[in-house]
Amino acid sequence: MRKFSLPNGLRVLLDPLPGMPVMGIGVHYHAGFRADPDGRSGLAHLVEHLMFQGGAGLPHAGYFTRVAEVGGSATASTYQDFTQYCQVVPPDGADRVLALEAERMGGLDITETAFRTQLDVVRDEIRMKTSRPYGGFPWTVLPRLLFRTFPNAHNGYGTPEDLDRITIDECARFHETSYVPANALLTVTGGFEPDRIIELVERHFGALPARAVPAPASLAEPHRTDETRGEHRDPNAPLPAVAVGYRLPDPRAAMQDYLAHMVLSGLLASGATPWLRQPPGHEFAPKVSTSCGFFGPLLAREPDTGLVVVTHPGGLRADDILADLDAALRLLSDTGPDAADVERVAARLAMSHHRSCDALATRTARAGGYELLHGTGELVDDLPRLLHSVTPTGVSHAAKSVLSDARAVVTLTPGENDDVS
Amino acid sequence: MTFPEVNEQVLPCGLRVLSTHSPSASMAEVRLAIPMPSTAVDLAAALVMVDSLPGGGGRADEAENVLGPGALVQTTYDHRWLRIGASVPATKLPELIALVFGALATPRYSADTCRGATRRIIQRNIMARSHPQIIARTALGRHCYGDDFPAVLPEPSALSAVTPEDVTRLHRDHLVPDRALLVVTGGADQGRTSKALAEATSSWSADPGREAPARGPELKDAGITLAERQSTGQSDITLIARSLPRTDPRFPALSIANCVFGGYPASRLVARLREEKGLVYAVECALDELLEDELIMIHAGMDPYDAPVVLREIQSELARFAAEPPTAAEIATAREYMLGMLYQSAASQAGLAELLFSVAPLGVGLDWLLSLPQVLHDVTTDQVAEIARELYPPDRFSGVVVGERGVLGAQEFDVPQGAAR
Repeated sequence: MRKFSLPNGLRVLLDPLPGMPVMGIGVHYHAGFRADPDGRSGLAHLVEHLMFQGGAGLPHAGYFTRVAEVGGSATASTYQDFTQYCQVVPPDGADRVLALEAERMGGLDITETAFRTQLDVVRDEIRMKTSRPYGGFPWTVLPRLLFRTFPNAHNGYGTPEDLDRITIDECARFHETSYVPANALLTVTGGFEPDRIIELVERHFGALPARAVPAPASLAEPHRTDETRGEHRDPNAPLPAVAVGYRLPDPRAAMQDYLAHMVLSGLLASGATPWLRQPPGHEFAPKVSTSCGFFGPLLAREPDTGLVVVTHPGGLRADDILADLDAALRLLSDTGPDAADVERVAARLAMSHHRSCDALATRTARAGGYELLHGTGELVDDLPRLLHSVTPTGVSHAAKSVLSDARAVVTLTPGENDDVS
Repeated sequence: MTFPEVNEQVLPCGLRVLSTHSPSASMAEVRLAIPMPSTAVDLAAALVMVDSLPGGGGRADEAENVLGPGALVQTTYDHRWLRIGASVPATKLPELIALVFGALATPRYSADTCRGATRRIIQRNIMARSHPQIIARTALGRHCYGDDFPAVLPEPSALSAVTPEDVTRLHRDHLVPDRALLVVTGGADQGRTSKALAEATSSWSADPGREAPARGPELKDAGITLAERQSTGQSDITLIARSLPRTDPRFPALSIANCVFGGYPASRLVARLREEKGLVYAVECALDELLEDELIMIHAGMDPYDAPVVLREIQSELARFAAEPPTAAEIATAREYMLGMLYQSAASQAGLAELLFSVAPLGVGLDWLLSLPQVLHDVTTDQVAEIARELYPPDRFSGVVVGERGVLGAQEFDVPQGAAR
């Protein structure tokens, strides 16, 4: 991989993979939904949608059309601390896509119509994704229990009231201040000739003026000292669920600890330690799923959240689940996990990572995200090796930290379920 | 198209094998498809069979135990195909082949495996039953095919009644090699792979020459109806019309026409409903299949309140498609996009396996896939216009709106009943 910066501060990561028939082009802006201003939850996500309106002179869906004309696909996602835009195109499309990305980095001409329309599209997206069974659970409801400050605690989709308040000027200002070259990273992966790409990058992005980088949203807040509980009602969920969230270590300060948490998280979901009791009188076993990070490992700055979610047929209280979880964590902390189990989970995580990054769109997104947040784009290739360096002792320490951490617990209550008539 | 060299062979048992070799890949991707009759198969028995095969729920730990941590094997059944997909370390491919083809050559089902499978499937269906997609598909099938449309999810009583003899008979009748397709991509040694395949398939017997099963229920021109369901915050519109077999000489023109109409983010349907009107986040038109029928299938999910206007907008876009058929520019963009997606698939081992696998349902050779770029280039504006006029008039489409009467818009919900044809 090659890394350099343009005079205006834009960082560039080149990841050539000779022989690939396509290339990935990604732009990561260091502004995700934790950069939403207080009282304007959902702003970062709305701006993500507006970026496809492509500024002046482009018709509806114009951005997609211009990428498709050169055989490319385009996607975007708003994470906690960055918003990513990724395209995959045949090499001949590089000039077009780099020009388009530079154009929308340079300025966003938001029309009143585009603003109103995308606000409606965003509202429909939220409605669709949260009206599915378990939609938005627990990431839209748990942060407000685990955290106190607005950036960490709010729902990144935005509340209906906040979305109603957002103005076109606020969107323009968010773009003007956050979407500046020195707050962004351009990632190019796949089959390309580096010298030609460097020339194109300089031509399209070099002309953008340097602008001041906004101070990143302050995310620091002390750990809670109490356990907090909340309720969530999901009219479309067929079974009750309980989600437990705990704070993860800072990967920038303690990478090895963070990797141990990845393995711990995998271990708790693996069935190697069947830690959860069978609810009395129910034939079906509860299901445990876990996640290291709300949206996956290493995709947020500190503080990020580890999750344990239990879906069960009924007959279990949150207290039962927490007692069993604590017993399992205590056992891991006191006597440590089996070395073979640690090795098995590490191998599973490594292979799953390898599999995801085999697709160029994912490789581009991950390399850019890791580089922007942690300065380690190389993790797309190195993470498997690092996971294998996790020891049983490391996992014990991770388990102990979860035990001693105050956590947030959300109980999901289902509504009446009906079949189609 | 720069396509890796594909080795094509038919084994003595009748199994067709397509394989590529990428020496640098550490994984092997495997896809196996075995055709099943779309009706006349007991769904409950088929699902119990799937659960008991390698990659089924009853053998969840087997893949990792035999092939190492992180190895994935998954078996699915969708009325037309039994599919086994696997992603394993390249060095473990011979063991995978022995595992999968050993199970196919020698059916082994016991009362115990049937009981376990029944429990797992019932538990899984508790979740599946509330999924909007399953609900919409069930409603669509009943409306357009009548009461003989096979159940999407089996009843618990049908599952409990399945015996090992039922499953064994089903296996012997249908899991035969002569119309099956195997795809292998990735870094496995080809000599070892061939040897393992020859050994593992030597006792897999050929088709006993069973009679073709009777055709299932006929697709009716049923018009559009409302399938009432208590409001859950989402309505789904699904509309279908007959299309063309994939081997039809006009299919390339159809695939371009469909892409322009609703097949990608720059399509007319997405541009109008999402980017211009802001009515929906998700709408698409795909070339799909249901039972034995090749279909054009339009799907949109929306706020129940917006369902009437979304339906009108879809019908109006259909009418416009015939009146103002795709322009040369629209066709060129869709073609470049489709070619770009082909190259993108070929850029990952899993994508390449899926791409090669796509010829499985066609009964055509690899040439079909390799000639696709040229075939798409040769499609004329007139050919696409003819398809638009012939296959996309609104009165060809039947379907359902799933939602609650009275919630669907302020006005009385008004859908044309029993369209003219």
